[in-house]
Amino acid sequence: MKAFDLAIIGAGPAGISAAIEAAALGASVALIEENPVPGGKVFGHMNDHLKDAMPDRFEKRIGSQLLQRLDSVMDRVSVFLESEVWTVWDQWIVAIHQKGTSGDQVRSIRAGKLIISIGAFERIVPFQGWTLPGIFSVGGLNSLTKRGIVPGEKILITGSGPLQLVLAHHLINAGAGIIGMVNAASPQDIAARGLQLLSNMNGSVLASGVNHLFAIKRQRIPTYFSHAISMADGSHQVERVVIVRVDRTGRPIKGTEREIVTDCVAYGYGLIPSCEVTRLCGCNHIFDDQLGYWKVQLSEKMETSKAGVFVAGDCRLVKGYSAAIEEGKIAAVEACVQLGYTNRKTADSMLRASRRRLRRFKRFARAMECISRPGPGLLDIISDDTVICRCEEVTMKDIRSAVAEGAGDVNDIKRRTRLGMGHCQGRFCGQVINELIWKMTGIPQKREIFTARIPVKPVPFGVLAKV
Amino acid sequence: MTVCKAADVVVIGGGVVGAAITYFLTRNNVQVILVERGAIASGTSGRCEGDVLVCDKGPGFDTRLNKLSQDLFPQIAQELNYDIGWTQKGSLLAVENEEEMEVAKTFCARLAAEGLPVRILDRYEVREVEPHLAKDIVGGMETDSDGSLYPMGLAYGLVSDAKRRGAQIMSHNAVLDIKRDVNGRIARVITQREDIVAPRVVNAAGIWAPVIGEMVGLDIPIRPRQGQMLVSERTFPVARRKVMEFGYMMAKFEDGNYTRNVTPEMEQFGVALVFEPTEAQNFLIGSSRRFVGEDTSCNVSVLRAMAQRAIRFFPAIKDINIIRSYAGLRPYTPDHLPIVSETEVEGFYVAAGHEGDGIGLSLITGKMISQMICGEPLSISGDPLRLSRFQKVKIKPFRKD
Amino acid sequence: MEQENTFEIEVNGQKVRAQRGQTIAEALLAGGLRIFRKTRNDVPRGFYCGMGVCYECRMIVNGIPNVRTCMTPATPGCKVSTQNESMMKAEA
Repeated sequence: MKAFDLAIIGAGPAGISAAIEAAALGASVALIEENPVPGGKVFGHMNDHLKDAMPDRFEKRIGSQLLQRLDSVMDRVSVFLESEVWTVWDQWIVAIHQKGTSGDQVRSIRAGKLIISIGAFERIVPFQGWTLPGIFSVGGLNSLTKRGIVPGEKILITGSGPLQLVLAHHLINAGAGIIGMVNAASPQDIAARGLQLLSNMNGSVLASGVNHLFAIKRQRIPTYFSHAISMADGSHQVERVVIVRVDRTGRPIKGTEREIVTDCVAYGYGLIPSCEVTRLCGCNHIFDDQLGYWKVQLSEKMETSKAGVFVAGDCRLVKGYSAAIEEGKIAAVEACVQLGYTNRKTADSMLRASRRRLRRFKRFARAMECISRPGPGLLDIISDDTVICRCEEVTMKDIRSAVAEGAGDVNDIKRRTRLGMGHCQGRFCGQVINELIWKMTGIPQKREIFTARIPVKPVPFGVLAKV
Repeated sequence: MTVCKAADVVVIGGGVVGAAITYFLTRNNVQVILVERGAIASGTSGRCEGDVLVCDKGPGFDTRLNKLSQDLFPQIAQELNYDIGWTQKGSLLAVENEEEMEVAKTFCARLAAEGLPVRILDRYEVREVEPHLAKDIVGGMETDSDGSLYPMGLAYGLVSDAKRRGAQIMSHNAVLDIKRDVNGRIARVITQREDIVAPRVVNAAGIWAPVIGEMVGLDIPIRPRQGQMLVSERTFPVARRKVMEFGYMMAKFEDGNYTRNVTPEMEQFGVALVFEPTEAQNFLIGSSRRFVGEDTSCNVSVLRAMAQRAIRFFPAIKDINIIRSYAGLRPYTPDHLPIVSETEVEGFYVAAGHEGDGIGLSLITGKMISQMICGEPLSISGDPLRLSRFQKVKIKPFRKD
Repeated sequence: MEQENTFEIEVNGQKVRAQRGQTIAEALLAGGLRIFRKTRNDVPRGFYCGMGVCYECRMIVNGIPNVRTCMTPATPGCKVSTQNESMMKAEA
């Protein structure tokens, strides 16, 4: 088994930045990425020949620079592509499932330190019909559009969050027909945070944002603030939806429903960090009440409660690629201090500027998140027929029956209904199940999360057998 | 705590065993309060497979006990107003080589003599019934009456039925102490929420039975024996019913004369193939045995050995995804038989220590405890299941393996 | 040169065009196909998260079920079919 000083899981902006810095300091680095190319969700497709609808010249510039710098240290960084990490054990062996045309390969590597930079994923609040084909996550539709695929002609963007703007801009550039943007936030909410946002933006973020907004304005796309999608319908795919006005808590206002004919819906309430690897490592996590998600506990050195395990990027707090790049650098340098490739004094001086920039990015991100966070009232949109666990087709009604039978906690619901037992292991249903149980029982209890188990991602028996 | 309830019987432990006891007692018009410290079926019953087998039991008492229990399932499954996922597709013990086959034939004959619906399959027949078995498997032993169900569903169904007939269920309520009267007879159970006045207590607390036993000064030799499980994704059927490897049983019964063709890791972790297809259209792979206290985490080394053993018998699964692993703790006794008996403490009964057979034995356990308490003749002799059988021998203090 | 970058895959017996570098899911969506699988209750599902975590996009690819088409590159001649999970039952 090959041994490295440092294994970096996830080659998005944070992971790439970390690899570059660690390699520059002389550490041996393994950079592990599940996609066929590095770059993550933002820069992942910059170098392929498929149509690149990325209009943002700031993103382009930063992305190119980053990927070029990675190229320049390729001799010192072992990059594992199409490689999915399914468990981490024995402080630390990283189990890798490497796919590819020659079949599944099993690789394990040993690493002294870990940097986990696996990014974020879509936040959801279920609504009736959200599982219909033609309803895409905002991130998912964005990725498709950037690669030249627009799977619809009457596209409706719903939910909340800054990713909506990015998606809209990419769709416009691709010549797609956007029929509307539906945002649960109100202009007053945005204005209230406006000062916070403006004072913490940096130049490129501001420019990007303005760029997106102007493009959308130019197209005269109907925008429905303070609205949320309450239902989707169609015989085998989405054909129409109903949107409803919501109050400041997200609660739907009866009588304000309107139907919109559509063939493609983007749906999501921003992003939340992916914590499955840090949880499997046994790191402490806390629930951030303001942001409404679980996050791994971190020191200023980007280190978790497990010594030698660091985290960088959106998988800790969702804050965009600029912040991720800074965090990757900090985590790498701190890991290198522990590995002995640099000392405290040099590290502190190297990182001073990054830490300063990061503080602003985080304040901006927090303000942005507070606008995008789905209000508790949105749960009132969920009808009895709404599927809550997509994988096992568990509906709201099923959960109600289980509660009526005496179930009062997440694991009890899971045992009775199979909620959370499917392929995604509770990634989506787990986001709302606590709140739903509290609403039904009227008893707010301790927030529960599904126990992290091996494997963190599905892995073939043959791969486990050979690990 | 001045608040007080009263019952004829307090059953401690809301797993399948406690649920079955509550069910049978309630049907006999006994006033039962079931006390469970967590949620119903949140202990071992929530971390196991749904086996109702006779194929892997020792010929004689073990087999007879399990068969009696097994025979109760079809009717209970119908009567319970709850879908417990009961199917009776039979089981297969896969025989790896000719040496095993000789033993299998003898074993089969003994079980057949007890009236069990068993038969030996040769290498062609075994592949006709299970086409995905590895080509070098020399045969198997089929048992028609074996079945499986959803163990948590069984617990919920039994509890639900008992509740409807008047049993009280107190979940999320731990037992803190048990008080006896001046004659040493059970008098009162102290729980977190309130006291319960009752002359009879049934200790169905599984791996925590010793803790409950201590409350009345009884030494109950049950220790947790960890077993890990692998869960597959939903996919096309690989085996249509329960399949286990025969070789494991040989190691279990022949006591060291026979060693299977396994890796040192498999031997160390007590790994033996158990393949269980479920009604959810996926399958569970077991099994392993380790004494690690109350640790329910899984280890890559153990899981790896289990995956290897499973692929040896079903090569096709190497491309099927594992979506989860988990571990359960079997309540193990030194002679592999459960404790289902009264004790020297008047009014105190023990119904625990079923090791890996708890689901299958839950119904007969419930029935026998009900018979004991109501003074009815027992379905089968209770002597091999007495707690006192352990007290004849000096019990050594436990050490973690 | 356009020819080298495109090829054909087979979806439920029909030929569908794909570009080099596209995933199977992308080829299907570009071709207007959105129903990737049916659940065990026969409910149609399709592409959702696009990043390999939801498993909604799983289809049978070259005979192997449960393949995430959003993470799998399309290759010339690969055979893809809708995964009908109500058919994944063992005989009674």
